[in-house]
Amino acid sequence: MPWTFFGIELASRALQSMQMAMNTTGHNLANINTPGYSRQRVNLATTEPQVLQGVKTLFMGTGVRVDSIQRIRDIFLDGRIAATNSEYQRLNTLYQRLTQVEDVFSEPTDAGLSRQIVAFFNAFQELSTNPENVGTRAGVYQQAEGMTRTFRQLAGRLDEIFAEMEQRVQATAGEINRIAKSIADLNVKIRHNKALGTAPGDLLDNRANLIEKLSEYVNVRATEMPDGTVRVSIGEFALVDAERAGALPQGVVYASANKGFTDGAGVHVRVTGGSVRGLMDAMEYISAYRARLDTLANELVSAVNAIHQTGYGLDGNTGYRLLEGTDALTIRVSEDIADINHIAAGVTSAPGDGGKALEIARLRQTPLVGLDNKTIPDYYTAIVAELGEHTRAASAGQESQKIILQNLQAERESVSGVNMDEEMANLLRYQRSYQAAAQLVSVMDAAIADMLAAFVGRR
Amino acid sequence: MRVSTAQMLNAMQQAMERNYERYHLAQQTVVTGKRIQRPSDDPFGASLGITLHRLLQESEQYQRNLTTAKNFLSITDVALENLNDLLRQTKSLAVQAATDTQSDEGRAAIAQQIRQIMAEVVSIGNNTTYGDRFIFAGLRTLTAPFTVSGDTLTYHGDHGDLNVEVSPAVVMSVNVQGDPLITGIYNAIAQVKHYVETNDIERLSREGLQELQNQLNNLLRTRAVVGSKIQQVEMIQQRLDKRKVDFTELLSGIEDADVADAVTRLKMAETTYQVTLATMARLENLSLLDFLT
Repeated sequence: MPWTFFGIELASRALQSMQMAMNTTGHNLANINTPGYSRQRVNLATTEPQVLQGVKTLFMGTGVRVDSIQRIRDIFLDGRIAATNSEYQRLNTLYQRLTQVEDVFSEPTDAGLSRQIVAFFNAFQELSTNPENVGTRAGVYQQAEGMTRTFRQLAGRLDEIFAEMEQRVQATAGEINRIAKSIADLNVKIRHNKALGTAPGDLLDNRANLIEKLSEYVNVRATEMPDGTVRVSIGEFALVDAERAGALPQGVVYASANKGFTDGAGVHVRVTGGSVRGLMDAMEYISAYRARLDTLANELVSAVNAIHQTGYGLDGNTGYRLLEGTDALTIRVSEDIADINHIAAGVTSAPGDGGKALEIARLRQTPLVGLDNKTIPDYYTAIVAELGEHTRAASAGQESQKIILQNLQAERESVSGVNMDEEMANLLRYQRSYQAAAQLVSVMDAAIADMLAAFVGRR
Repeated sequence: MRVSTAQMLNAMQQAMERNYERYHLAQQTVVTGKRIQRPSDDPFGASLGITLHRLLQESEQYQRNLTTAKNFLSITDVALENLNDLLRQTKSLAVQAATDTQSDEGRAAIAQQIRQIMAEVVSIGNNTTYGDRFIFAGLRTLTAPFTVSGDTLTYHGDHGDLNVEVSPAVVMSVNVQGDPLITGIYNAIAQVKHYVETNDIERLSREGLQELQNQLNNLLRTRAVVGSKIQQVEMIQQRLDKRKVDFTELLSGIEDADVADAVTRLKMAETTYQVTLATMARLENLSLLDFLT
């Protein structure tokens, strides 16, 4: 025979279990908008039955208990999301940065360098037909000034963007190191709890969120160990191993296929994804554009000067330079022609001689060896076209990665996300069970009272 | 499939963002009328556009060059025509002077007229200008090309060609140097004057008239060259005008948005966006909570 208060105990276990179930439902509902939250499910199970020995052996049920609170999560999806996220962030960052570069080039608009270059050569055409005129000479000076200024602004803005990106990469490396530290700390807590029996879902969620955050910055691979800790690596580099967090070296390598971080002494962390790689890719492109602008500026200066220096100014002297500088940042109008009468339009010192001006004007149609046998305008246009291609490719890539990522995230949400209606239905169910268990308590109470009354009545 | 609340809201949000972006892009296209806002919109089209813009910009300069060339040549042409008239006048005066019946007074009067003509020839050489440039001075355009002492004409200009690029890689010299053309004419007339003054009818009617004819022939050849250059310039001008129209059209085809198409797209994007917003508003009202009391 079960003992007297057996029924009340059974009901109280049910009350407790239902309360836990309702609390968990409440936890789910409270976190319906928490990013990265995995819903939790209360797994109910029967308690040990009581064995009653009589004529026959009977197993009597003893009620319900909470067997576990399960975190609903598909860890394989996490890996795929991290990989896709890295690739998406890489392309998206690259795209955003190249868009900035496109803004700097301002093509195709009147503010772009291409029209400045044409205007510069046009001014020489004009000079060749009217070399005596002060106004035409002033026009040449102005256009040279305008073109070189645009070169310098372009190079300066590219340098600013580049420097800002390099800083961003270094700042992100610091952020990665901090996150690695947090993951290592969580590893310790999770291992401790797991040793005690259960791994708490919310800590696991926090850790998964941090890993996902890492995947925004770099390519990461997370491997779960039997003791509950995760090992996080960037390529071959172990960023987190159980309670140990590594630190990324500070040196930034962007100009080779082996983009990543280095300490200059053998440690090289190759980065293939994430916003860090996107920044590095953009840095490589930008420095290539910049180098070609430099080549263009340098060739322009020497080709123009080579002609100009052999021509004669209105003052009858020769040997004046028109431009100075060796790259896009230093190109400027030479001091030599601060007096615009020094602009050398003529092959001879005759004031009506525009022969040199015409030679300079025709330079724009001349393929130059230093420019891969392209003309000056074509060489520049090729840079812009390439920038356009790079940006377009990044744009298309990030768009398709975004869709893949969103689908994977939806898939995970489908598994782990909270559905309010579902939780409300569960709440209702647990509430009814709770009410029933409460009723059971009162029935048992009444039965015991009756029994006690019977004893009291007999005495 | 199980759908979580956040998943549904996310999907709605993503759809809203996507549709808004499309709406925004369509709007931008309609507002600017441009299909290519930046190189990445169409890298090939953009680089073609840059090249066409350059060609148009260069064409404008060629138009200016052509105007200069044409002005130069036309002014030269007028001056040459005047020189032609002066030569013809001299010739008829020389024929008059060569007649035996001419009195001494008559010859003196003719010599006086020829002196007048010589002064006019010099005046044409020194006063034919384009702006403040002396057209007959070669490239020494800032100095009057001729001075006279006695009957000797001295040329101070040079023999440089004034070259103008009239279309890509086509260079045309647009000036006629004062020497030998004007000096030759002047000397021939001076010679005639000398024969008239010295009453050398014999040489006046042979060498004198012959030399005048030579100068007339020479002038005619020069005028023909100038005339054909003017024609060539006008032809190039017409071709450039046509090219400008062609390029502008081509450029518009590359860079400009098809307005009707753009407006239709904008309308479609707008409708889609409205539907998304409406669906979202409806969705918010749909919850089990509304049915539980």
